[in-house]
Amino acid sequence: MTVEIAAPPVESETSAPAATTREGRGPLLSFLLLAAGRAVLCVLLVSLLTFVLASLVPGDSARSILGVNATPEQYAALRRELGLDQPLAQQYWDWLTGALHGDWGTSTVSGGSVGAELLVRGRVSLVLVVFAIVVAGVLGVGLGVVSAVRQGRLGRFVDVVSLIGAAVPSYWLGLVLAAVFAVYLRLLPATGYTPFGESPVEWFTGMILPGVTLGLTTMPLLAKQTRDSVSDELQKDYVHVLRARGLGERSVLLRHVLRNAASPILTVVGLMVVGLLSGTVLAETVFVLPGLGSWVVTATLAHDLPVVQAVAVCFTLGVVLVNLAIDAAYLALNPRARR
Amino acid sequence: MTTHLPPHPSVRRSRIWCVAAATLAALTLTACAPRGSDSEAAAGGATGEPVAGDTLTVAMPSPPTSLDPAKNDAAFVSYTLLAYEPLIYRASDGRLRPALATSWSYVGTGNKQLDIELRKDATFADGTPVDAKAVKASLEYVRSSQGSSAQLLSTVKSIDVRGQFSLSVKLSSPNPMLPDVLTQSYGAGQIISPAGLADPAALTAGSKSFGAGAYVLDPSKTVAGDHYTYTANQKYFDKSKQHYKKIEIRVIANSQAALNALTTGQVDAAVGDLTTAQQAKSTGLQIARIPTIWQGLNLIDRSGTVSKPLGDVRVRRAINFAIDRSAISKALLGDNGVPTTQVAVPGGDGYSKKAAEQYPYDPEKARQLLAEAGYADGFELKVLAIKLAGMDAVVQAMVPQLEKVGIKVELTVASDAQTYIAGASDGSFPAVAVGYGAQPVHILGQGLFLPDAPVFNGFHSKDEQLISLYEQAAAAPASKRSELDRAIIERLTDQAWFAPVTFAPVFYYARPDLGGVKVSPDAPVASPLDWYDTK
Repeated sequence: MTVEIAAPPVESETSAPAATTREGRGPLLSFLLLAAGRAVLCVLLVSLLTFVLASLVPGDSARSILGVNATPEQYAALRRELGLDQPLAQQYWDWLTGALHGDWGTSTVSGGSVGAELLVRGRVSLVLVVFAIVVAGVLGVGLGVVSAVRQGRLGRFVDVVSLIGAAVPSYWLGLVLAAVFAVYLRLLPATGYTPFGESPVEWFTGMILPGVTLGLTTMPLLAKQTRDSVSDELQKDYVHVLRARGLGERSVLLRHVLRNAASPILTVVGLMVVGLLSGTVLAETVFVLPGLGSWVVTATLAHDLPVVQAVAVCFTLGVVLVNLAIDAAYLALNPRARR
Repeated sequence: MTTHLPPHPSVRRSRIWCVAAATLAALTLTACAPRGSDSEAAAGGATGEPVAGDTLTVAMPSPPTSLDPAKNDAAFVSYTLLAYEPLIYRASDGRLRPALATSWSYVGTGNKQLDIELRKDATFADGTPVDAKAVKASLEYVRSSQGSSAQLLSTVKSIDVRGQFSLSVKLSSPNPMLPDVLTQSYGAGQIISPAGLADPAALTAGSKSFGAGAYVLDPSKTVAGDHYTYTANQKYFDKSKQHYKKIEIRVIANSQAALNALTTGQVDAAVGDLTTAQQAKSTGLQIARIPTIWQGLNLIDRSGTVSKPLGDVRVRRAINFAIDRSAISKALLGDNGVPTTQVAVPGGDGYSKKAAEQYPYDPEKARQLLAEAGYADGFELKVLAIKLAGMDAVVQAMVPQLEKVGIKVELTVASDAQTYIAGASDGSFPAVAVGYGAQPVHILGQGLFLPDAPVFNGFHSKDEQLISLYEQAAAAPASKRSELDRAIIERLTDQAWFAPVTFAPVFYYARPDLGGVKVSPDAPVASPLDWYDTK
């Protein structure tokens, strides 16, 4: 069944990529160019900032490796060996040119290739984030829609859950879930990561607790935003018109209301994914996953700059890509933005 | 040997901090095996018959600083000792046993030459024989490397190969502890193969292990910083010491997560800490613990350079009388702490009953001593502490007690090791908080009280009597050394160079049926090689 009713205006929170269109260039191309330019600038700035900030932190990897009992001569020699005696600008330039050629350097602590480990650990963090998004997405949107439709008690329940969710630290939630489902009920593993190739079942069961922990702490925000957006949409005239035309409630909700309510929800999803990236630090520590989050913690403490830099750039790229995807989704969902 | 300090509950402010504590503590503080006879260990130990095991999984709070034995910090020695056989093995009771060396002894007088005989049937994992030439090359590599073990061999003058399996290590100054330095407790004693020495990049990166140990690193089942897998070395000379086909070390920074993994059977043993000790006990796990890290104040300005009062021994003694050690120890560590007035652990090398009784809690006596020294109205004392493993908590607990006798403490708390090291060694603080592992007195001297000790003797205090005793002990035969070591501890205590408060423990947790999990004053750091399955 085709319905000819125009979609209501959507308050776009993007930087309105369509507005930058000039004649001769497609809106998509200019959008992509602009986005790519912003992404490169952002990554460069973050890498520079990380470098400068890390250099301001007292201590260095030579001290971490040697401990306190090393002689000043040993300390100086190791600094030379690691290139830490070079001027900061030179160190940054060396890192940047290396990274641009795909060489992320070697960990000053373990001596291993940062690039190779980035791939191994990046996969773990990616799986964790995807699990969390699925948990948060299904529960958040589901609860939000149900409470918007039913209103009343369920709506208030979502509010309460949102408040609690915002107040409960993921670290604490992780420990509680581990205590109940791993230690007490013995249903799921308490710690660790099993690669998919080794055992798909163990891979899946091992990701449940970390994924649920991370997902649950971000879910309430999504649930509340979904409830509010869907409630707003349900008040609008076009919904009454659709219903008057005899459209089924499910069709009204899924094909029209949700689509129009999606833009603000997407904004929240964007924020949520960015939050999830930083949330991996705690979830990976509590559940002992070999991901980027736990890696950056140990690397920061050991002043392992190449690792810190690589993870910072990775996370930045993650944020930039998510924003790009959200912007693209706005374009797809909102015909006006395309014009 | 460095060891992990347990973070104290009062400083458990954030998880990141706890990770920091585990790592920094391991990196900055040194603990080693004191010699002695009786044990303070509440050691567990399954009683069943030993049986061959399949996989042993151990949880450690931090990854190694390197997989190269010469560069790895001694706190993380477990990661290298499995693959790199030492010359001498320190058993869990602290005794030294043959490993690659079948015998060793000092030649002549003065502890300046150690002759070593090697076993003839040992090969590295790649099949090349472990002979005197290979051992010499490995020791020389350690000595010239920029690693944390290098200073332990700094007095080695030459290494002479006397035969295919015999060598002599000659020293420029007496060192009675060289056999200890050549155990698995330090990287120096873990012998690296010629192939490893020829490929420093692979050695450092740990892409392969190059030792003659009971196990070899399996790089395909290792993710640096997360888990390290070792499989039994087919060429190992004593198969009876391979209790498992595989040993896996998992890095679990969060002690609660480590306990969860242990409770649910994911790991068999774990390094514990104060925050989880009570819970571990109530879940029926085996606990081995030993108080080994002394915490308190290091009164470094002993000639009164920046704090004139500290130059007077009566003032330093007054500080020692002013501290209620039992109360602080009980409050901070519960039953796990052992109050102390000396830097030697009960049952360890140099421990003195006389020193233990020298400073009972007596604020009145403290005030009297201060008055005699001309400070009846008290004085101000600048103290540097570090937010690490409860070291700041101990000093904070001392502050009101010192104020009671008129010493007003101006406390600065550093949040990182670098600031602490700088403040302790650049003369800006006359007193600093300290957490330091019990050690044999000879090794303790190098790090703590000799004039050139790099960090913990920031004003390079020098006491002629102390140095004379130290030199005598260094050159003395083993039979006379313990008496001289005791005299050194008594001198340090009498001159009140420190104000120690309590010994904090190191914990090991294990499932109830794991055998061999023991620690002793002589060997406070356990070796997974000693552990076995029981039926």
